[in-house]
Amino acid sequence: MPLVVEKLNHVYGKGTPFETMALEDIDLTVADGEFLGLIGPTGSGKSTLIQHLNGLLKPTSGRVLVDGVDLNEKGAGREARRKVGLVFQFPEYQLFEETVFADVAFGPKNLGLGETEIKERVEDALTAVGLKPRELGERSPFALSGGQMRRVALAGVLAMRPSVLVLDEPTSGLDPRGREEILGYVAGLHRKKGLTVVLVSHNMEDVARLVSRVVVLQRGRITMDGPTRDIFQRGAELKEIGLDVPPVTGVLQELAGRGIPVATRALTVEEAADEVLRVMGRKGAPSQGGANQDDRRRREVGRA
Amino acid sequence: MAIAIISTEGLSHCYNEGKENALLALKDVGLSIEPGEFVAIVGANGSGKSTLAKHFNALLLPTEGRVLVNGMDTADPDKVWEVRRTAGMVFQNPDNQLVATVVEEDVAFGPENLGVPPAEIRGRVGRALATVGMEGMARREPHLLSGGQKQRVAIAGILAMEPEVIVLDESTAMLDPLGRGEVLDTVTRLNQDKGITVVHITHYMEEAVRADRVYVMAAGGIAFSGTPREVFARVRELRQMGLDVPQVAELADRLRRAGLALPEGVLSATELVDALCLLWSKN
Repeated sequence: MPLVVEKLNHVYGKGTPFETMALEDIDLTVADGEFLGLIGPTGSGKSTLIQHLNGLLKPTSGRVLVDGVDLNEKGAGREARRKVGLVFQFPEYQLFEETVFADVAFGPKNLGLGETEIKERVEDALTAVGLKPRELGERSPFALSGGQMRRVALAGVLAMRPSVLVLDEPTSGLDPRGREEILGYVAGLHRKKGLTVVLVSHNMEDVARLVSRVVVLQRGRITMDGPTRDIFQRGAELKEIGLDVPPVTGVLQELAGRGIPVATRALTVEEAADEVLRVMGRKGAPSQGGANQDDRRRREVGRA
Repeated sequence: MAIAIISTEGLSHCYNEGKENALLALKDVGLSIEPGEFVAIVGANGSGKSTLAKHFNALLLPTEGRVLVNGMDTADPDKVWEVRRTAGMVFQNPDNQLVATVVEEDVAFGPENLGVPPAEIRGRVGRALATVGMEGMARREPHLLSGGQKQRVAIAGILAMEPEVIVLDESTAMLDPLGRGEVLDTVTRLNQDKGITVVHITHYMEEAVRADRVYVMAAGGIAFSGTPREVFARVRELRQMGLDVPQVAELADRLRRAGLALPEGVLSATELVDALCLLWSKN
């Protein structure tokens, strides 16, 4: 069942001189198994919106439905909120237990589950993010590398067995290797377990190669919503609001602007190289017309 | 060659030396940074880049070898304060390096500790805040600022001590693109207008492109160094070290290897587009 946001409005500091309209008339449906990218300049309302997706904030008006249940409904709402796992920015700062195992077990324990079930969930969650329960379970989470700590925090959310995973800037502050790891495991969960994923990111390269649909938030409103490739065709509009297209897409768009007949829909280095070589007429170059059978290649990330 | 503002000779650093969990984080590092340079130090996590940075203002001392800052040996206990005044450090987390409850008091903290007279402090604080573009925020509470603004206040705090070098120890890692742009523009300006030496430790390769010179660290040593153009031409080596290559540089590298006659070391989209248009017009 989908995640539905209906006519959502959120006002901060209502009735005070600091009253701010943070979200205005948001209508959004995220289908089951979708991988959605949410982008927008700083202060556009992204964080406010995702806090509504698991009921951390209450709408000023409008509602959020998970599997048809209003998150703010008494009783049933509590169960529904649990289906949405929210991973904050720098989640490793929220680790607190003495061992990795205990930290990941914290959520399931609060659900009142039995010991066997807890153990199974913790081991599953750690394995899903590439950490070996036997090797790391009894270690202190604070003795791990930054990338590993972040994966422990992600495992803590996965151990609650959510059907929707919402990630706020999951790679910020990580080096390229740490970034690949996190995104790889998230992409794997999406692909293998059909997890619905909402990714908030400033990194257009990551958005371009991972998500199938992009929603653009600007000053609390949704101003664009469509397939990733279509959204990144609107480079000028994105730049105007302080966003951008992936650098290689920008190169192709500029080439087209200067009269070279390239297609401008490539989103990755591989696709862009293919397209330039196709047009520049080199023999032996693969000319598969990037934009058609690209989606397979774009998902190579995380194919472990 | 000009006299170095920062140099290291045979610098090694071992954490927990002599213990079971000893870790050799730096191995025989020799480098030399000249006054007025903008140097970027890049490397994957665990490559030693942050350990190296902490030697530049005596937060860490060498286990072997030595570090000279403006000719002063950082291991000389009498010189520690002078070393720290010369090379100011901005850290990674914008939330745990501001100490006061009002922006201008935070900026005044450093010069106060140096014993600068109050009237002079006032002048320095005003100038420092103006330099980082935060003059309108002097009476604000730091915790209400954005990440980029906080880092600019931290930079102002260092400027108020009139340093010759600013060391950014992954100071952009926790910021969004807007904040990163603010911080980089600020230090670029300080470097160009005031001749302040900038050492920027980062794993964002597109930031390293702005430097005069880039050192690439791996496994506690310097793997190679050069101008951004020279460094980013080594696409495959960088990848193997777990580092990113700017997307445009990678595209150019791929096209060149596929036989297009492109120059080496293409870094920016404009350069690549120009080069491709030139090729197209020749065909």
